[in-house]
Amino acid sequence: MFDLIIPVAWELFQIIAVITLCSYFIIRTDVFNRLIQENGSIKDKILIILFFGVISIYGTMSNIVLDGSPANVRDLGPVIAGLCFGPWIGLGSAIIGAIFRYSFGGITAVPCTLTTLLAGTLAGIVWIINKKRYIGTYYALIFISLIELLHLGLIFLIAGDGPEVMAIIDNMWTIMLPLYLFGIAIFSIFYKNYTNEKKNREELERERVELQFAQEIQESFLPKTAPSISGYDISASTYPAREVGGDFYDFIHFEDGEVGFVIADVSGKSVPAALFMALSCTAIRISTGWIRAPSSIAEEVNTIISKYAESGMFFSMVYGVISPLNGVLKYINAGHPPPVLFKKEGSHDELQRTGTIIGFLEGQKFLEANVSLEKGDFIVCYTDGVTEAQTFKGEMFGKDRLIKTIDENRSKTAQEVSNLIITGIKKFVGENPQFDDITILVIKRTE
Amino acid sequence: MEIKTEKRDNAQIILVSGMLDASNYQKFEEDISLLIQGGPDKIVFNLSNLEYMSSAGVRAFLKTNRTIKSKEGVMVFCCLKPFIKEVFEIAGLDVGFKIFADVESAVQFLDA
Repeated sequence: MFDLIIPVAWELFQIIAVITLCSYFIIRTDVFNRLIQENGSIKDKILIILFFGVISIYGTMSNIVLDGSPANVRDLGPVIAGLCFGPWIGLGSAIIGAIFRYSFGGITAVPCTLTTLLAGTLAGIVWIINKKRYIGTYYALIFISLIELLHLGLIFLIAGDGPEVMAIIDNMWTIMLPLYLFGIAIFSIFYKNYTNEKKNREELERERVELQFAQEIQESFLPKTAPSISGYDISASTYPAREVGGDFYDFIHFEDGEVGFVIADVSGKSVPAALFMALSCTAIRISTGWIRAPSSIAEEVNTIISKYAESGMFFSMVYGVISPLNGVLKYINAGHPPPVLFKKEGSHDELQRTGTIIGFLEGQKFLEANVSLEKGDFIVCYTDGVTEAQTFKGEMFGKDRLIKTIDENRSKTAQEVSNLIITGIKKFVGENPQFDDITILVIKRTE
Repeated sequence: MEIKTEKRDNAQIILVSGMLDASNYQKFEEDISLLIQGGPDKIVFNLSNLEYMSSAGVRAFLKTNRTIKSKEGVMVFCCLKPFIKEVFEIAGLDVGFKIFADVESAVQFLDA
């Protein structure tokens, strides 16, 4: 008994191994990919027909002889080819398998050959009916079972029901059908894994491109360098989080020598935030073309932005205008974290809110405040990415640490102060990733 | 971030817990828009359990306010922790929104 079972089991194992390996291999080829996306060349089509044709030949050659009757998986290749690529490729590979089978002769030569040809063609028709897509594991299993039922019917019809035929039919149930089901199942699983992988890859790629796009928009709207004004030392730095937010800053040079600056935080992420940042930036720039007073700028921009607020666009900002000669700074603070003014003698003050977030209250009036920058004084403006940078435990950098860091480095240049704040934040948060954009403007009066 | 909702008189009380920031404000906006869909248009946001809120959270509330206003509803806040109160004040939300010390006064205001 063992003498019989062991070789059969070994042959079965070989067939299973070959089917598994071939499925895994073919799905990952470029030829398969191009054909699945229906942009394969004639050469691709010929190659795939040959491949599945050879699989069909292998199916015939791997005949397992049980009780003197052969059993095989000849139709597997043409069926998969048809289900994946349609009737022509299905039939093409079936013809190769069929010719090979017919050359062997035997009482079932005609029904077997016919079944293979029909299997490839019908599978292709199923592909067309299913909108030119693979029908999935479940229906593919049903389909292959129906094909083998057809196989059976044709054998009865053409070869009759002699004892030799009955032995073959016996084998069909015990070995052939389970092998077919296994073959289809393993292919379907690989195919599904592969398409999932591809979808994930495409999704990741799409996100990456979007992010890059958002970054490019953001960068193109930010000034490349901070302005150089005699008697002042100015720095502007922004560190976007991985998922770009909408922090921005800008400088406006007026003809009479006054300089406007803005720091703002548009909430939201990626492309929408970047587009909204572009809109906000443009609205501010255009308004400064005919308006000078910061409060009027804020009111104008608020009116423009309120029109779009339906989509949830709001932003906080500080907008100020400095007269470099006398150091007077007029500003508005629209719901933005208060900039800190460091006085030469050691004290510090905050430039508190003078209005609410832009886009929140239509028609709101903004108050305008002013401070005076003496020689040695400086202002640090920042976005909430600075104070709300967090450690793993959720502890925040906070305003106190920010002020302390700056206080300890009063004598440094604007850019150095900015860099030291960043170093301080990095040291504080450790390995925790940056969640929000960080932007810092430092304006220092040196003379 | 977690949301629980409860009806009292004519008002819907939405209890927001945890953290509201860039990582979850979109989910918050979605959840809230489902809650207020066709529902009562008098909303109290009970923030007694809201520990942290960033500018993304501010934006989420402002957007929700737009939606509620477009349906001629009204939303108010109650029970702000000191940190949240500070965030509200920096952004100026305390100017545009009614804020109450407890749920009862909020509901009373909406019923009046």
